[in-house]
Amino acid sequence: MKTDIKHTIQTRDLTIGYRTKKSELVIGSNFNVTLQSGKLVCLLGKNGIGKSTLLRTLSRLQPQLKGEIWIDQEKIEHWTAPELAQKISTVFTERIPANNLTVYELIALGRQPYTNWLGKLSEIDHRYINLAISQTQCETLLNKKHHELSDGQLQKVMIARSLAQNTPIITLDEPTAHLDMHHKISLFILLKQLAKKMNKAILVSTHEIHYALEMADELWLMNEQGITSGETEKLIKNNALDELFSTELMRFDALKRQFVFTKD
Amino acid sequence: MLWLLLILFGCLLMNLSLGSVDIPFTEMLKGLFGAEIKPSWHHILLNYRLPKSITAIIVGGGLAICGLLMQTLFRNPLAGPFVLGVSSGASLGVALLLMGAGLFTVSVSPFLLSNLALSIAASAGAIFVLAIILTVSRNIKNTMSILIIGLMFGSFTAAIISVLAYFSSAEKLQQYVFWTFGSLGNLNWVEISILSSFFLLSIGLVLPLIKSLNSLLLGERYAISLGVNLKKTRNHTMLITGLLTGVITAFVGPIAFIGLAVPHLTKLVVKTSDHRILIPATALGGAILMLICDTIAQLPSSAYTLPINAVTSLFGAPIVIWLLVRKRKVY
Repeated sequence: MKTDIKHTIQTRDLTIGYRTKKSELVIGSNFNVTLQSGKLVCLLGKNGIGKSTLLRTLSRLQPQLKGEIWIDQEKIEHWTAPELAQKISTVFTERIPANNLTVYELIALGRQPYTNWLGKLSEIDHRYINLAISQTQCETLLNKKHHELSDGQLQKVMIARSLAQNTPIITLDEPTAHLDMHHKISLFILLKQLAKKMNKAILVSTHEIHYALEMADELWLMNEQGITSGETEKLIKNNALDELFSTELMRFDALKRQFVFTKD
Repeated sequence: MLWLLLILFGCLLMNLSLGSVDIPFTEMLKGLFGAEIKPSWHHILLNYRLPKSITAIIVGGGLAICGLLMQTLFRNPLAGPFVLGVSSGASLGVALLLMGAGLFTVSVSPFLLSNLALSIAASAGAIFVLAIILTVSRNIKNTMSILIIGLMFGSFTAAIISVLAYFSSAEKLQQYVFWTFGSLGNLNWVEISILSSFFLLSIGLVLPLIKSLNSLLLGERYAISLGVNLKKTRNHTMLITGLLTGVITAFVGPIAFIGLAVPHLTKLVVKTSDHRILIPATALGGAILMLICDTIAQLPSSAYTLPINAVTSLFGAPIVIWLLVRKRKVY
């Protein structure tokens, strides 16, 4: 099911933030970044810098304040809601409300942009659901209710749901939070595979800098000045990572490929 | 689903058979299918019991569906058909008619006390409040704020009613209180046909919402990312609930409890969150519970009748508590 068509998100002088009737709260501005098919991109930045706001803006959950977002060579505003739902799927940090949904039903909801007015699943829908299940190895969970799952299991299921949505672009907001090391690594490996084998464009916000450096094709480094984006190795070479946290307490060691404490 | 239908049918027959006058089961069946039975029984059956049973089915089913819609929309297990303040609006209409009119005029024309006038006043009040809430919430993004606004409207109208009650005569007050008891038995066939057309209309309007309601099970953000138009879904749902509860309250008074409890009971029984199953199952559950409550309210074989609104809570609340304690689980 790999496609060779290029899918992209591109921003031009994007300003994100929140608008009320009287005032604007600008979170960040002048973002010029591109996300492409086949790439796993990690969005790094300190707490509160606006990573979640950016991800929400890119999937049109909140409007941008200024600038443009282009999705597949078309402005984001021009896509209808169902069309956009076939372009971008998302994994949020929030827990889902208490109810009786089983894991299978939850994953199947990912097919909603494709089903008829009553949400009836077709043969094709079932095929995509089963593919998503086998890719994330959720087979043993299918008949459980979602509130019976552990954090790691739930995270896998939510990713399966977005895979079932079969979109060329996937954004994930801190999917590795609450996971142990083994689950973090297998998650990154899964995302990398999806980017390579299925040519998906994947944007992950994360605090796992170590794994991000290891696995990402590109990094988006977000700080008060804006976003610096590029291939991981180039960014390391240009000392771009030093700008990530504006602090004296630590610096990025290019040889060790990690942040180290500043001596005395 | 089939066995819910069977239970409903059984409850209907029980409801028709039991009352202040006992009609033996076989005679009742004969009467229903047009065979000769005692004329007085025939009269009771066709002009009193059958309309009342049908009303109970529509009222129970309608309120239960509204409760389910509100609980899904607000993702709040305490939401019910009345959270939008619609029944308070209806109450306000009736209170203004019964108590307000008495304050300003010396004599009240008999028309003002008729069933029809009460229904019109209640509908007007319900539609008034619904219109305000829909207008106010048009520019509100946060669904929880709408829930609170609805509750505030409820308090506000309740306060106006209290003021009216304070200044009105004991007789007027009593009339109002009697209306709040609720009554399933006052509807004639014309009124029943109005009520059922609204019910069927609402069912028709709910069907296209089912898919969006299922998406909302994942929360609003996921629903939007699945292509749901949240505002449209929200307004659509509120409109249906407002109209249906408004019309029901107008005809039978503010029936408590059913709308809140039946969705929970149904989810315990059918164990799914899929609205394609939940909506019909909840409607059937509401109808069944309403028929049972009405049968109890008639105090079979006695000449007394309990207010239906008291019975729904009196017998329903302990059942829900018992079921939830026994299950010890998020439904």
